[in-house]
Amino acid sequence: MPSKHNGVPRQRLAFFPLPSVSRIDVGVAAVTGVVGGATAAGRRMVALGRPVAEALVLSPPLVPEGLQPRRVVELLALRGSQQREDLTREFAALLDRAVPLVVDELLRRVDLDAVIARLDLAKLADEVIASVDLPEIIRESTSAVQSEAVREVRMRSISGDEAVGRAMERLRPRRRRVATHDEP
Amino acid sequence: MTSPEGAPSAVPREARAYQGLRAGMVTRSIAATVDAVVVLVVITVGLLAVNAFAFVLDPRGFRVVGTSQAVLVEAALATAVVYLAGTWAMVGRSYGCHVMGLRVVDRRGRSPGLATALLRAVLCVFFPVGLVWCGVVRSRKSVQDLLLRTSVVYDWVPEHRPRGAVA
Repeated sequence: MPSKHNGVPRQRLAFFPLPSVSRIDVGVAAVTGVVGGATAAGRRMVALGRPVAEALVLSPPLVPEGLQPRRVVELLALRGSQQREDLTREFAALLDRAVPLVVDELLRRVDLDAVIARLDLAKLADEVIASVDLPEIIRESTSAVQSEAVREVRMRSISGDEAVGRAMERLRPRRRRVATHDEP
Repeated sequence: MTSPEGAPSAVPREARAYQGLRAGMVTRSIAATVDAVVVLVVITVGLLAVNAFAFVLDPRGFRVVGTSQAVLVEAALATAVVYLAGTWAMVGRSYGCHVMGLRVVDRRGRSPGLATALLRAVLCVFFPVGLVWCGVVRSRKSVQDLLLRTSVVYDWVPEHRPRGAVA
């Protein structure tokens, strides 16, 4: 459907040979095709050339074993690993000595009573209790058998109430049927 | 999980949807049956106690007291009225209501006053068939409830809440 300019259908440019084809789509496809082809060709060249390059650079021929770059790199990696472990151990020891001192100083300076006073501990406790459903746990842990039996009887009687209500509802004229329950 | 006030609810999850709604005939009938058993036990224990007291006072001239049917019926009716009125006025529920998770409330959602509880107890004891009406009408109100503007609601919370609205 041709676009409109001031209510008049805009004519496509005459020099594009296929009026029904979008020039933008053609351009995008051409660019992505070229880029994709170049990328694939590059990857293939790297895949083919990498073993040769590695062999020439890391293990050059006619160079003694101890002087080959691969050996040098391996020694560097080993030494770096040992140094990293040493640093980790020293840093842990430093933390063991420094953290208690820092914490002690912080606690000495901070008024914990004031911090606690700013907390709504009751609300926090309510949220915690609500999240773990403490009453449910207490119910289950104390007098579990009796409460379960009573609960079962109660729920069954409620079901009986509902059944009676439904039965009575069916007996009523259809036009008077509405919700069974009313709030007290 | 929490009540409207934000406190944790003691009501099991499956019963929370019914909390505060009016109870139906089945639950109320079971509660009434439990109360009748309570009255029967009280009468029996009372009768035994009276006879034991009479025997202790005069062992030789002891004769069993209260064997007359009329006396037993009158004692049972009086006990039922006192028991129901007292429990409804004091804690809002009789033992039968306690077992079945029910509570008697007035039109404001509070426990009924002593006068209302007494009238309700008299009506319940002398006109028990009025309970059937709560299974007939959609509002689940018995004849006693309609006359005294009371309700019996599901309330599984064990605490006594005399002034608070129900659930």
